[in-house]
Amino acid sequence: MSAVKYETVIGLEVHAELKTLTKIFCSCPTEFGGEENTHICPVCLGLPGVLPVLNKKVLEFAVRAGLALNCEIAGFSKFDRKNYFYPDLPKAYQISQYDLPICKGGRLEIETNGEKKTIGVTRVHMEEDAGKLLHGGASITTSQYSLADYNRTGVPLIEIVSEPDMRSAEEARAYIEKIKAILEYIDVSDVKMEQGSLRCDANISLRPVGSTKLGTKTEIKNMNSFRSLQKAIEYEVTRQEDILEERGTIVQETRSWDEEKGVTVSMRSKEAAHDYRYFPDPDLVPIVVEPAWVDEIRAALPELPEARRQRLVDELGLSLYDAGIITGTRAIAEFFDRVVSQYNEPKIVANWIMGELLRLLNANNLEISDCKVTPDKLAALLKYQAEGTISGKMAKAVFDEMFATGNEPGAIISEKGMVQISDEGALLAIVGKIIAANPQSVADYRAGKEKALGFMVGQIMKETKGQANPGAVTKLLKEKLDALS
Amino acid sequence: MTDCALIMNTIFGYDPKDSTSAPVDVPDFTASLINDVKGMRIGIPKEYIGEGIDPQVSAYLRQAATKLEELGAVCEEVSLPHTEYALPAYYIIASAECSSNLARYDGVRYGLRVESDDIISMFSKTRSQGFGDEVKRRIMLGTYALSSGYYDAYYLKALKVRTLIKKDFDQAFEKYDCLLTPTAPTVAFNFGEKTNDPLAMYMSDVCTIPINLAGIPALSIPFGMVNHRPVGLQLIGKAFNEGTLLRVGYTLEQNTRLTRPRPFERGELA
Ligand SMILES: [Zn+2]
Repeated sequence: MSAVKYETVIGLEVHAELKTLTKIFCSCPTEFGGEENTHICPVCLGLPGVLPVLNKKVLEFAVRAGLALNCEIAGFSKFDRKNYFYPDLPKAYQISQYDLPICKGGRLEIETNGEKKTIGVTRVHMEEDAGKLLHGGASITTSQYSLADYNRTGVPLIEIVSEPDMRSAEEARAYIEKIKAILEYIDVSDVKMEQGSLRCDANISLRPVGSTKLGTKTEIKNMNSFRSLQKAIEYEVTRQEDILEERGTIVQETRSWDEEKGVTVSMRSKEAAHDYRYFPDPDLVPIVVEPAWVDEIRAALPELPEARRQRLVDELGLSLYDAGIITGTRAIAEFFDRVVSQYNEPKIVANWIMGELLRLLNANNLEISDCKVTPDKLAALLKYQAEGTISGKMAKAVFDEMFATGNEPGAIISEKGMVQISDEGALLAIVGKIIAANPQSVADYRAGKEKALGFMVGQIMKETKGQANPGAVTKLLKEKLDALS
Repeated sequence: MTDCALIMNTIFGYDPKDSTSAPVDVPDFTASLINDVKGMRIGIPKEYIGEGIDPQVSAYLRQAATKLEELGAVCEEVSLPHTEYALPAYYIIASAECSSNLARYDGVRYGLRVESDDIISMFSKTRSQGFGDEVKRRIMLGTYALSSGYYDAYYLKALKVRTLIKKDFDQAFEKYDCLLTPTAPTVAFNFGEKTNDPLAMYMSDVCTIPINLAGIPALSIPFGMVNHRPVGLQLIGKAFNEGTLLRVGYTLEQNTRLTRPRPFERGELA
């Protein structure tokens, strides 16, 4: 055990691709996944003599994001050139915002293990995305050739920079999940980490507990999921702790997360860091934002996750925890609302979504938007269960089938003959049959062994291939047995 | 001057694909071809007629001022105190932009490519052979001026100087309709005469560069000959006030017998 206890300090830089129809400075489509180099024009290729013109939608989306993150919106801001040479950057500079970003001074609230905490948002700025390189080999340095796809060049991005306010990998994960939820709610980004529309770099340092001075930080890149973000931070914290405990010094550098090996590896040191030679882009004019326009955007903001969560607690009686999961993404929250509008049992609906639906989505690595079970179909299923047409156990089986095939619950129920027998006359006949066939169990029950009752109910369910209403069976069986004495 | 107005009618106008282009209506510039300057106030910045200006050039300038006064204009000396900083500010700003603008010429996608054994030396040879001396000089100057630790001292300071220069002009235009200066400090020099002296070349732009920094219009008028070499005078106006310049230029053109130089016809530069 070391004498010194360390505190982890984490700040995150999040890049989100904006889902505008066209690119930031030209009219090319932003659509993901087109054939290589088909969404390009002289402007985004940076051919000599072309000029950028700002897409107003990008500004609107950035302002919307800034407002949702409680930022101040700058009345005056500008674009700067970030100069660096790389084959995926056709102009050899990226148009970004340096000292006058469009939004700054925001904050958002995260929750870990039931504890709330406010994380500062330093700034949100607009910039253009770079292209994509397809290497002939494993990496750019070991390849015989690399191909450049410029479809993504000029796709609008916002970069959201946090204050170094996070103290653990869990907090960092909660923060990025919250950012994702907010950007999804306000409909400015697809926020898919796996597709690269949401990217995250982490600045990590340690300092002795009680110290207010920041330690030397490393920047971690290349984390492609929430899980890898958390794992990378956990690894990096341990790595730095080990160095400090050996009385070593942390080198300020950029490190890359290696998902397969589960380690971070050095990419470049501070000395080798780029001098980006930022300066105001003379091809663009300063951005002047009218307060009235900002007010319009603010007024049109949709309900944010926090407010929606509270509404589910206050108006529908969900627990805070359940409401948090249901409102975790806008898509799930809307799915929930649509089911509840047809089957007004919010707690039951929430349990089904959190239990069955999310379980199957996660197991199949699907988004709710890809799901074959629509809100209408889930509501119909829950009604069949409520009416007693099918048992809870049957409903789960029907749901699995709906998830796999997308068929209507009614069709599945009749196709499988899964109709629950609740009719007393029919059940009484079976009850009588089972009592007659199991004299030992009857004797046991009468001797006070409750277990024997369960056994006989099981026999009845078996006899009816699970279609008997178990509640009704238990009630009838008990009545019959008690009457025997 | 009529040719100038006709060309302006054709090429002026808002370009939605250029963010720095102003969405203003284009007037009919031929309507500004008025032979009358009565009551107009014309400033002559003293920084443009003093040291470093060829006396033969300033003589022509005085001649033009006298003519304009005869025609009813008021000509007065005015001061644009930050003029001497315009040239250094310009060469920092322009070189900085140039270093960034030209970085894309790497020989990969278009333009000249000098083949080599590996890609880095291909970049390096392409750029070494493709750019001329003045361009390379500007790339180096500009890269330096933007570098970390130098930005504030050079680039940022140059931007501040540009603001002061613009303010000088704004103040002058509160009092004057336009300003009269030489176009260049000397009579035109021989082709290639100063190419090996970059500083002398930069100095020959000393009268026109402040206009570019301030973002205002100016009109250069051929106004005389010295040893068969043309001398130009410059009229400087407020933003979007080209009409005033055409009017003063047209009046001078109509009331002087100075002929336009035709050096190519006479084979002087051959
Ligand atoms: Zn394009």
